[in-house]
Amino acid sequence: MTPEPSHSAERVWGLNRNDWLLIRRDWILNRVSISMALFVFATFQVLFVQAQLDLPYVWVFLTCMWAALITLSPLAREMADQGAAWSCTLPASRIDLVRARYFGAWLLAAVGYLVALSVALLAPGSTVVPSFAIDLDTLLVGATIVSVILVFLMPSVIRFGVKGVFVLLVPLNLLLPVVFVVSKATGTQDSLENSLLAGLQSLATVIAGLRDGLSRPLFYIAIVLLLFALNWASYRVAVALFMRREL
Amino acid sequence: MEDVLEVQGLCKRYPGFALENVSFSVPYGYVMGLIGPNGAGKTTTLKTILGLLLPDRGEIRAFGLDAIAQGKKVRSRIGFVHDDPRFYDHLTLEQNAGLVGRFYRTWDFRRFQGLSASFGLPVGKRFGVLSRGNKTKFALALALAHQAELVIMDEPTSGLDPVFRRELLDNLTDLLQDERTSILFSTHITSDLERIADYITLIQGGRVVFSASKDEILESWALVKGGLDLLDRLPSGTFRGVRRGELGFEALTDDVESIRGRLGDAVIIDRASLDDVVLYTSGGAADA
Repeated sequence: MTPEPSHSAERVWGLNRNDWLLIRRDWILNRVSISMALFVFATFQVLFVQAQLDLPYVWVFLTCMWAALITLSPLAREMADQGAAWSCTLPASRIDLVRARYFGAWLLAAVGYLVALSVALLAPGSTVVPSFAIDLDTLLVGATIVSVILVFLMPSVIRFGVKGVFVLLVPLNLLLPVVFVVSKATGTQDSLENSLLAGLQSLATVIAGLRDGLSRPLFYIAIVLLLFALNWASYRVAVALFMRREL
Repeated sequence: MEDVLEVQGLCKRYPGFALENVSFSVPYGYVMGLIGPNGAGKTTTLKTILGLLLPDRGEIRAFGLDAIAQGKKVRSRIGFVHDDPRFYDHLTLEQNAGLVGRFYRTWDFRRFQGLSASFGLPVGKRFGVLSRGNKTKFALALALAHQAELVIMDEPTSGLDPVFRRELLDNLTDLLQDERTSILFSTHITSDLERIADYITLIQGGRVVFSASKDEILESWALVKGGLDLLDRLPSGTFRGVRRGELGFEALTDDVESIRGRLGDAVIIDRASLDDVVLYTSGGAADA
């Protein structure tokens, strides 16, 4: 199917009227499940704070992972009610639908982070320091965690519905042990482990090199652009997959 | 006469099923009935028109626009009534309407309220608790409240009791008085179409058997009844379907004059109903 152009004079933050209507609709439809997810999220924050752990990046990691997973809530209803087919009978293009999903997911992740931050800061005995939680480094680490989850999960979920989570994670979960078992059997385990470590170290070196070589503002801009490019690529894949989805 | 919808050479293949070269058109302000047995390809055709399925080949134009390339514009002028309407179960009808209506620039909430009242819909109730008939009426009210110029209905009367069916068809008949709303109505209940359709397209096994005005169809098709010995006088393929009984046969033809010329008064020729046409052309008329 040729992607239908989605021009509109009424764009706000790059989104047209239909995109906002779709996001609004998803949030209204899923208000109960989103509220419940946020409640569980807030409870986790209170418990984490009570544990008095001085592990700020663990807090960032768990908080952002939760925030990213909350974004799948609207997609669950879409699958349960065969909503994707119904949505495609509305005067909205498939591109509108995918774009609304991505923007909606990021908005929801941001709301989730704000809720977590508020609860973590207000809870008595909190070890989460406000200056750390809203520091640009922390926010970029958080955005990276959310991006990694969304970039991989969204195309699969948009194409296959909620079972897309399993379509992606089950093969991954099976593939990694299989690779290790095969490498052990063939006596290449050490070289595999070394290659993986070398890969991770190279990535760390590149990032450190960028941070040292560029001025701070330029480094932040580079990371933001990189994350944007990853999300954009994921979005384009999701559009291509959704265009082919028969409903 | 201008057409609101033109389907030309539509093809769609699945494993075990193929829609082959489907063509028909719906003139402005008329009702086109799409009939055929279950699995004939009616829903596939409608889904392709709505852009839910991608055609392998063929062209679909609605309101003069390419329905695939300009689907968004086309769908803004179409109302869709599914055989099992899917809205949001946990929201009231009014909330559902508020959520869906905003997508249409021509949405008229007052008209929705008026239609709901005339259809007897409980707008304060949750969609999930409605009867099947009321769900269909709600879908129709939504379609008409955004002033759809073409209403596509996929088996809207299947599963409804006769009273509800009659009510729904009456509602449709009333609504057609404006002469600007066109309807594409798919069903396997042919009596519904005999009541409201102006044109009929029969699909069987993914192919169009005929597409013509209802009056033309009812005039040109006939049931022929006679003794079994008469069948031997005719070459095979004379009839579109034959049912043999112990005492005689009953067969369908779309060439009444030729049969009358060959068999004269030896046979009885009756008007065929749409049901007869579907039954015989689909091979569903088994020998007694």
